[in-house]
Amino acid sequence: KQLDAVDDDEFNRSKILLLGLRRSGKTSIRHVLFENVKPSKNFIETDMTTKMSKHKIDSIIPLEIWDVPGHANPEKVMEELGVPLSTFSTLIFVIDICDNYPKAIEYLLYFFTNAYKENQEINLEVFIHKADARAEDYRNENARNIQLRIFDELADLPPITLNNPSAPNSGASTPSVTTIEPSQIPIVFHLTSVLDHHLLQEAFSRVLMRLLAPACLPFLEELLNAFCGSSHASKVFLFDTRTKVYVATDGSPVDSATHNLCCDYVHMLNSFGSLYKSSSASSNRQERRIRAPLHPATSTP
Amino acid sequence: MKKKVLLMGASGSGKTSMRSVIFSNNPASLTSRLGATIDVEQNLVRFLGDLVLNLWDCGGQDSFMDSYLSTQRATIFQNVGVLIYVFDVESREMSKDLEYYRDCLEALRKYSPDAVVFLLVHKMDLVRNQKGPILERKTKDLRDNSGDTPITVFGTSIYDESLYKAWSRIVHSLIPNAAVLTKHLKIFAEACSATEVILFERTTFLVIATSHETAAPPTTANGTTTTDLTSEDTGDPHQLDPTRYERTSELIKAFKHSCSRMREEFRSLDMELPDYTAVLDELTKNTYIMVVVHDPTIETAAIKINIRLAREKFEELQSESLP
Ligand SMILES: Nc1nc2c(ncn2[C@@H]2O[C@H](COP(=O)(O)OP(=O)(O)OP(=O)(O)O)[C@@H](O)[C@H]2O)c(=O)[nH]1
Ligand SMILES: Nc1nc2c(ncn2[C@@H]2O[C@H](COP(=O)(O)OP(=O)(O)O)[C@@H](O)[C@H]2O)c(=O)[nH]1
Ligand SMILES: [Mg+2]
Repeated sequence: KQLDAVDDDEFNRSKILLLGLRRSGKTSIRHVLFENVKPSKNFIETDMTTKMSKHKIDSIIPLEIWDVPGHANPEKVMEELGVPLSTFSTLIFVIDICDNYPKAIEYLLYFFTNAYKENQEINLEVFIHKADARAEDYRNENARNIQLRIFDELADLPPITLNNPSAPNSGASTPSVTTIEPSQIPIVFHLTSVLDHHLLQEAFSRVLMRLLAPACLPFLEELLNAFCGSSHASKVFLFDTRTKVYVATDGSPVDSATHNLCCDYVHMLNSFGSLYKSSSASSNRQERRIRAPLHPATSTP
Repeated sequence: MKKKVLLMGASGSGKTSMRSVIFSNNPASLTSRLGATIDVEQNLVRFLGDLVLNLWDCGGQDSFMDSYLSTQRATIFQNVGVLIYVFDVESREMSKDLEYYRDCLEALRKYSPDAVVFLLVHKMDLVRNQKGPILERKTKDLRDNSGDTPITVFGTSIYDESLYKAWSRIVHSLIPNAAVLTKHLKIFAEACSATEVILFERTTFLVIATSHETAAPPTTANGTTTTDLTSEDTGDPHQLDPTRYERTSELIKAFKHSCSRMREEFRSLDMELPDYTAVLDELTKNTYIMVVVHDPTIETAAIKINIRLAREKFEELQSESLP
């Protein structure tokens, strides 16, 4: 009931929570992914985020991105959120590849275990960020270390008790209860960097695909497989043109060079879109294009 | 026809970087790997028709500057068509930079009195707030240091389209038959029912001419081109974005670079966008043409046929007027 009060939006947006210690790169990621900021060398001196902010993104699924500043104490973050973690479809935890892991990992465990406790359908994603700060050879090794650390820590935790939200009486009286080993919590890892926007776009594609998965991903993939077959295309991506990430692709493996080129192409088309926009000619054009087949006889509005 | 272009300015001001972005199609992010230029690096860049740019990238360390101004004075400053002098907007030694600049200008007046002078206030991306006022102040400063020599000032950065704007104007000033090209582009635009037609040089994608130019050429004497473009579009019902040309150059260069990473060659581009149709295709050996059409009844294929039919005429135009 409390939830309804928070989002009496026109429709329900899938909510994604960006988490991470201070300066881990959350705001920068948001800027590059959704605000078309070009990361140059002397990139965004993002002001220290001090307030939580929410951002509506109209991608193929309506999203709302919540960006909360890191606090030393995770309970402070919960307080600032003001809603339970079960509000979110996805948690993205941003961890700086050079950061002191123990603190970040402790932070991560707090949120991931609590979120999972409340909702076993939640998608838990980790962005191992600022990959550019490590030489290529060490990058993957570093990322693997972080992953192992997280798994180790999870294994050391006591079994967690699930509050099953799908139970009929989800009031405080008698929630149906099961327990799970923390090491079984599914977590997906991505290596990211704002200086390599393709890497970031690919990571966010995968986040979106997991969000779509139960509902329509299998159908989309089948559709694209069929398209590939009948058009002799070697690879097909279905892009969300707003966010410039793909939301589905055919079954063949994704080769990052091809993906990068497609991203750049979509970016270019998007940028061209407004470049030669005419203040006098533009408005009717789109309408006519759509309307023409419907009323072929009655043109010129 | 060879035109000598001098690229000068203090060490680290960004000369070699801009050269590599414009002429070698390198991304801006890779310029940090460039080393300081030793002495002068000469490059021949084949441009339109027979026009060849002879680009002299002059290393800017003091010892080199001193020798340009003394023992090499005649060699450097003779037969110069264009001098481009680059100032780092964040330079700590502006008074020293200006002193060298004044000395170069003096040498230029003696050896190449007809040379056109462009001044670039570079690395504008480093300026966070108040770009406009800072550029204005710098412009005034530079004007005060230029005596009677007419100058054109641009604020530039390799990280955005401003670099293309400046360089398009620079090469435009070097092209002898720009007005003829504009006239024919206008005719062509009419034939295609196009809103606008733009001609690019093939490797740099700098804008050579457009069908849209008004009577006043963009680089008149003394014209400070910082905020002038807004007035250019008066009387135009479309009121297209004044930064469209340089942004087009930048976008296409970036995409060409993406293609080259895949070892794919960039050939042409047809875009049917919600607001307009644009076709970008080869026109002559060293130019590309872009046709922008807002009329939704014009078919893309028709535009392409028109481009094909116009090729011969434009090849002719280029070779004719460049003896
Ligand atoms: N932020 C920023 N940095 C730039 C820009 N242009 C160039 N740089 C950087 O400035 C540094 C020096 O650039 P160079 O092109 O080597 O300078 P140069 O003028 O050729 O120097 P000399 O060859 O010694 O005369 C490089 O690290 C470039 O990445 C710009 O527009 N913005
Ligand atoms: N080298 C590098 N620096 C980054 C990257 N992402 C962010 N940063 C820098 O990290 C700092 C903190 O970023 P910010 O987005 O404010 O972090 P937040 O506090 O988590 O929102 C900024 O100075 C960014 O420029 C990255 O991928 N690589
Ligand atoms: Mg140099």
